[in-house]
Amino acid sequence: MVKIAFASMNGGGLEDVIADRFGRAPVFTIVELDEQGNILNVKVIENPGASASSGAGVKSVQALVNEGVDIAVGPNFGPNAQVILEEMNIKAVRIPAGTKIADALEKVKKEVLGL
Amino acid sequence: MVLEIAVASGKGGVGKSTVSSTLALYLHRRGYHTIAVDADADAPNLHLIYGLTSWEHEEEYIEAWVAEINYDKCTNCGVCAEVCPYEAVRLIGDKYVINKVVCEGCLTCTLACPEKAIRRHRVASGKIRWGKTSYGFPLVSARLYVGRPNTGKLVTEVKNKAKDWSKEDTIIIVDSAAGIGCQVISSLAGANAAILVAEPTPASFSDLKRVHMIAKQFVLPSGLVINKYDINPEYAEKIIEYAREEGIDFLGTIPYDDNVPKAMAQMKPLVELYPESPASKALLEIAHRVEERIIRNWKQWFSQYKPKKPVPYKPIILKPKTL
Repeated sequence: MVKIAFASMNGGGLEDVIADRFGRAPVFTIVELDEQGNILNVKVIENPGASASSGAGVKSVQALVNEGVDIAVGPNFGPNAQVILEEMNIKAVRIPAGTKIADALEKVKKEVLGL
Repeated sequence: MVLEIAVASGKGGVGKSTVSSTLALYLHRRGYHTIAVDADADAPNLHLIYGLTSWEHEEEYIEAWVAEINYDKCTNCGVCAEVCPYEAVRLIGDKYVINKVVCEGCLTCTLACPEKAIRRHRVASGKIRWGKTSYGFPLVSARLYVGRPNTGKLVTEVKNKAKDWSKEDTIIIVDSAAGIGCQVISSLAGANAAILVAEPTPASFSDLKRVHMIAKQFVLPSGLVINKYDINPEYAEKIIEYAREEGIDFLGTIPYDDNVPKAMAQMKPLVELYPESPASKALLEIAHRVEERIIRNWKQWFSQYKPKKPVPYKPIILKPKTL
């Protein structure tokens, strides 16, 4: 089982698109997959980094750690977010802003998980 | 596609605002839907270059916290003054007073007060304002109150305002603050390209490399402009060499020109007031290159100058000692 978090531009969900920033994305869409790549669950969480005055990257990664996420997807990652993701063994995957989450998920399945 | 170009330099006073103000004006005149963003809320002055003196809209930016003592409950025990890490509480006359400029709203006094007489509430830390320049394109700007910290969130709000107005192929020019702090990270995050401005001095070169690290972190392709080139041409070559090694597109140089401060004093863009001056000509050539290389050939420029792989700008993490 693997959990993937997508930095999402609007309300989140598979129909939403990748946000233009990671740390200040409004919400994260978290997709849970089984070993074969079937979707077990999709949920949307608020990103506490979006409204943080500073340390947005740190707060957003904390939220993902709390959710037990394995892979984080964003357009890019700020200096703090990148380091903490590495520390927490969360794989950071870059996918351009504006990509549909469903398409980004396929890309992660194929290129990262080898499914 | 909306193209957001952030102008940054690390060091202050090297010509970020001169370059970004020219760029926005030039692109607007070339028919692009252009929005200028002043992301330097500590020292906003893009509006002064455009001679913008009144705003269409101004709103308070509420973010900071300050503590306030309820004197009906206060027993003058002085615990708040003892615990305050910022020394913001002083005994003035016969009562303890919180200095609202110094207070960081950290909650220490609120938690320590035995009478529960201190509460914390939000205060405005600055203003976000916007208006149309007399040249016909909008400018969004923020202005902090004294002592209020500049934040990435404020920069994000200002940039989002510009994004709200964006059409299909709007060009947003973001004039970043100096330094490499949170607000500069926020200026570069979400941008599509960075234009780095330097002057040929060791201080500027050193700061340029630092801000370029952030651009690389965000996988932003960058261009380089060297201002006041002729004050030290040999040193300028060193910076150009760095650009070549790092895969930064060298966009051109601007000579030292007395007309730059003269134009600023008259609150008009240099290229408007002294179009024939050497710096004007150089600036317009650079703006033309930005249009030709970056805007009109975006895909090609992006793939040519995109940093090969992100180089993480690693902060030092102090871990607690294990016993």
